[in-house]
Amino acid sequence: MVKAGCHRVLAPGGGEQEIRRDRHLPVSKNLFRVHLDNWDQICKVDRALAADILGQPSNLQVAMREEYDSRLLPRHPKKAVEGSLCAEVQGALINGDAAVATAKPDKIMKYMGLAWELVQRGAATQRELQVIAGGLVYITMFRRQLLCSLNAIWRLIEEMSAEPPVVRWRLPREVKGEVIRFLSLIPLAYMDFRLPMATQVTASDASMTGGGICASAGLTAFGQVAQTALLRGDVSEPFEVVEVLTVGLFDGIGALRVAAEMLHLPVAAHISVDAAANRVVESAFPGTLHVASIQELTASTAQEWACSFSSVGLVSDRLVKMSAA
Amino acid sequence: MTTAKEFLFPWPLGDYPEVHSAKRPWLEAVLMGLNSLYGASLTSSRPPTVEQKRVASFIVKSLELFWSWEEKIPASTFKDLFRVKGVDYRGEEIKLARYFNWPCMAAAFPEEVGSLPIEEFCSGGCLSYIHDFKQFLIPEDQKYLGRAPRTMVEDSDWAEVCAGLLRVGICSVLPQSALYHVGGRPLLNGLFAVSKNEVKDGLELHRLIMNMVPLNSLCSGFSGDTCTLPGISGFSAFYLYEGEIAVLASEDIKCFYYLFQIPRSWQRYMGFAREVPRELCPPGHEGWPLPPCIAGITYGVR
Repeated sequence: MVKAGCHRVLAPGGGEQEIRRDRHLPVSKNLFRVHLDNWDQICKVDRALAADILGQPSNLQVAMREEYDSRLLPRHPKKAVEGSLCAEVQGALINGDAAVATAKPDKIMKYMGLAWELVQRGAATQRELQVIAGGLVYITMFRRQLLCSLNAIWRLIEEMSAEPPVVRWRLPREVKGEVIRFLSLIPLAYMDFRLPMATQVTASDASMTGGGICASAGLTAFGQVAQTALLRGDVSEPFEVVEVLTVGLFDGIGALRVAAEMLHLPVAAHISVDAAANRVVESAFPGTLHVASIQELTASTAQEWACSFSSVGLVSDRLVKMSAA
Repeated sequence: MTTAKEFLFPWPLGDYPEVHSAKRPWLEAVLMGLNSLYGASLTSSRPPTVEQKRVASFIVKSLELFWSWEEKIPASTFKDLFRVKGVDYRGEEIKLARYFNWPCMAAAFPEEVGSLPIEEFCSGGCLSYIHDFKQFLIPEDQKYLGRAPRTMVEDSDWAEVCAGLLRVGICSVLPQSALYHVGGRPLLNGLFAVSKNEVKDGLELHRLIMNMVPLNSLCSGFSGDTCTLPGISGFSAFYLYEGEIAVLASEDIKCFYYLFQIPRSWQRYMGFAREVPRELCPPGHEGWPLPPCIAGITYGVR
């Protein structure tokens, strides 16, 4: 609904400014994000020019307020932020001047205090340990690498499931050590928006039984082409488009989905039914939903899709004719 | 090839005279933490190399970022925390369900509550869900009603809570016979509150929560655009050039859950498990075969 407000204010373009989970972060100078009842705007501006706009509502903000008024949506004036260098955005504290984002200071202090209480006491219930682990994971969102410093705590929480949650367990030395080590590394837990991009890309994955790592050594021909392509935010995007749900019956290698890609259709999702080459489809289109057999499709399956892809305006199981047309 | 760990670890803790003495304990703590992650001895007795000093200066910059904070570690303990919070089945921290009365609730509602027809704010699949909710109920043979959740209001406060919810337009009165039934039993939901962590005129303000678990177990969930909602991790690719800063603006809508009025056809699914005092019922209720109940006419549809 708030998004629809942005749509009306920004129409006919402006979609390329939106930060969304399902799209790449735009490179635009003006960005906004909508999270349920909350709207935030982030503008990249020249430091020398910033003084003119600090403390003032932006043009888009004024337009949004008018839109709220016209729709009788009551604003929360105490929570409004106007042209500020520092603000809380979805549980993070963003400092636009220092170009960093951190966890909220009061939350960091809260979890530091509680973690220290457990370490000193030397014993904890499962609930207490879950609270600490959850708090520390929240802090790692600002420096993902810190996640690797938490291991033994998860094992202990799992082991504790064997007993009622009120039972207090003695904390093993390694869990206490992990918690103390984490507390000491908290000053590293921030996102640095000026950190230069590394030229080498690495990818790693691991399971309980194995792991692998690889690093890029250069660009392929495809990479060279991709390097010259436009980035999201370089060109105007419509705000709302009718998305397409492609349902590939006896999907083979996902030709329907390939056709949709070639036509640059805004595909919300692809459902691959009875595919002959699941791994090929999955490799090319990782978000694909697989249905093993056409006999599994029922009215309730269709209903589930309707609830999951509510912005879809066209469901297609045959795109070839359309593309030919 | 020389890797970072070969020239950095184990990291000596001392001999950083250029670092302010107040920050040295924290620098030591971070270096000890990194040494521990490296997995070798806790420190090195050798003086830091030029490279180690260069990287240490980066850590000092990180410390400076936190140095300006004025927040202090609170004195509160787990005992205090568990008075207002619990842990859900996924191990996540949640606010505890609380009993509530009307004065603690009333101040949180703006006058627009329950006044905006939801259909005017929806389109596409969302509108279809609102208009044709019946289509999204699960098949008859899968429907099951467990025990109705509690309505967490003391008996002495209930009449005032009902009167308040009716007055502001969040609920209306319905005969129990008009509610949706499964296996001859009415579908009844629950009501409780959580703290808003705000105090007004000496009263702790509460947020009203409608416990719709019974209804949700009978229908397909609607995910809508939730897959597009950004998370904070999306900011990791946000980049500012030297000389550039970020200027922020923000707006919030008040009491979003209860602003929107749902179609009357939904009301039969939204009754609450407690009888309404007769004096609050509309004329003609005397003839109703079952006791009246209140039912929501707003709902947390976003």
